[in-house]
Amino acid sequence: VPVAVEGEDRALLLAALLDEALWTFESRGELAVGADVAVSEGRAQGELLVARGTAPAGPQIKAVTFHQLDVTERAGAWHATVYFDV
Amino acid sequence: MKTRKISDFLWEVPQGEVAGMRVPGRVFADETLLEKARADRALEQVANVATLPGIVKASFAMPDIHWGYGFPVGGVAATDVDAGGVVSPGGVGFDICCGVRLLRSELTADDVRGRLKELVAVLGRRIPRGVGTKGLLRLDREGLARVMRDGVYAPIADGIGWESDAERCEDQGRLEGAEPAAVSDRAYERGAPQCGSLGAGNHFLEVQVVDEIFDPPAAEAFEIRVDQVCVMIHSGSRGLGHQVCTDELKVFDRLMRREGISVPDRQLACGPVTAPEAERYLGAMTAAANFARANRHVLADGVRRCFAEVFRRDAASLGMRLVYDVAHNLAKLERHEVDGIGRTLCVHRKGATRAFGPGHPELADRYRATGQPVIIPGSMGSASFVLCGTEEGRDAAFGSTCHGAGRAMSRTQARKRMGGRELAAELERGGVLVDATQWGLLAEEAPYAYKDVAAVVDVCEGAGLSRKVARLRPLAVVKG
Repeated sequence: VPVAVEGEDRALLLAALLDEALWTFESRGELAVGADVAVSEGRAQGELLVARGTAPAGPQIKAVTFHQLDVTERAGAWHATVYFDV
Repeated sequence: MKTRKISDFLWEVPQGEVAGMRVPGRVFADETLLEKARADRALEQVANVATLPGIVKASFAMPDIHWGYGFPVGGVAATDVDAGGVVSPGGVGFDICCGVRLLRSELTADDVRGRLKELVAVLGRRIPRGVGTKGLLRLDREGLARVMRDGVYAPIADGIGWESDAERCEDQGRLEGAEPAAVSDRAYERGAPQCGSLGAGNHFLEVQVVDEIFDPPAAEAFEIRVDQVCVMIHSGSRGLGHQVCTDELKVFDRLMRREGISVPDRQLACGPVTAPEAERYLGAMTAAANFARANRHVLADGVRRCFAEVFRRDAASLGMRLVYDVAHNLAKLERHEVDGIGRTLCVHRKGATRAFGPGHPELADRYRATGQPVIIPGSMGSASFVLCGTEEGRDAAFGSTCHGAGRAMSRTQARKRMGGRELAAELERGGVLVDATQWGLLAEEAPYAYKDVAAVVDVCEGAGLSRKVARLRPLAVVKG
């Protein structure tokens, strides 16, 4: 599924991409299992890789929050913190 | 986090505990509840909220406070609109106007005992619940816009529910200022099929019986008495509210940067109430709030039909009138006195309930003498309460009180302790029937995962926030 989101920083871009994944599942019943996007100048564009199917067991995610939202690079690896509303 | 005892039921988080606090934090609690709030870091969130521009008096916390996204659940924060005061979508939360309504009846516990299994089966079958379900009402875009504008008056005009239901709701069933045009297409798409559905998570429907009256005159005014069967409905604005909050968080993140506001957590994103973006948010939030009220109204109509089917009498002759409908996630512009001067405040109540006392001009006539009813659901299988607003509560925390028991254990911790089926069997041994759609998740809502609701309402009464009117115990739970 093609995807394009905007956000002033990487954390906002990640939240926006996850929002798109949630929306794709809720509106089309397609479960995002990965993403292939290029990030530049406040924009992430590419594709959500989806599989048809039911939600995995466990609490349903209702929203992506901005609580302690963070994406940072440390020692050559990316670390992200995202809280979901369930 | 440092705290200072002010009275047996009130504690202060001094200004300075978090950099940028504009007012102190004030927590209504006894020692046990205060320690619970400290343990899950909710006190730190109370202090964070105290940094919001324009906040007046204090960042308040109700006794059922617990950790939330950015704002604590059980928080009350009011900002002065004419002094740069802000509104924050995160201070309302994702489930805009999530709330509770209580229906009473002329049935007694004896009347339903032999029919309870049948009643639960019918409710479980007829009332849409669970993840992503379709509601009792299917709305097109125009129909949804009408619901967002007119609240419970939209279904009433279509013959759903009773006209007398409206005045028995907070805001008389319809909040002024809704702007359905400010709601995104995605929110329309999520909301249109969901009006009249419970949802999942902690949402539920409970058949209860009144087991104690604390304030007979108020109970009489609210038409409740001992041994009477009631139905409590807990639901909100479903996907529509979640989408409005999601959309607005992004807008406010930008607005905040433009206004040069900084907050300790991004979920506290906020902007001056007078900014165009904020006006737009308040219009969209109000639209979602009216949707939530209509949702509970349509659910209540469904419940009445189920009772009529099982007891073979129409709902009117069963006396199934509404006691009241309250919201516990909302921001409202209200007039309050601050330092002796009347001001327009933007009052955020997130996991807190408005509790206006006797004589308040915004109350419908029938509640002028008693103060408004406040409906407090307990945890699944434990008692629930009907409270009443007080005059002194207006000065204590802008006319606010608690909203429930408040989570004491994380969902994961609660699941580890016991399985859903095992928990249901245990509750049934204690006289409470349970029906769920996701048994695996039932244990998340176990009574032991929550604080003691009786202790919470006692603190509210001790602190003068609200008064106890009645206690109800559950007979059956239909989980979302």
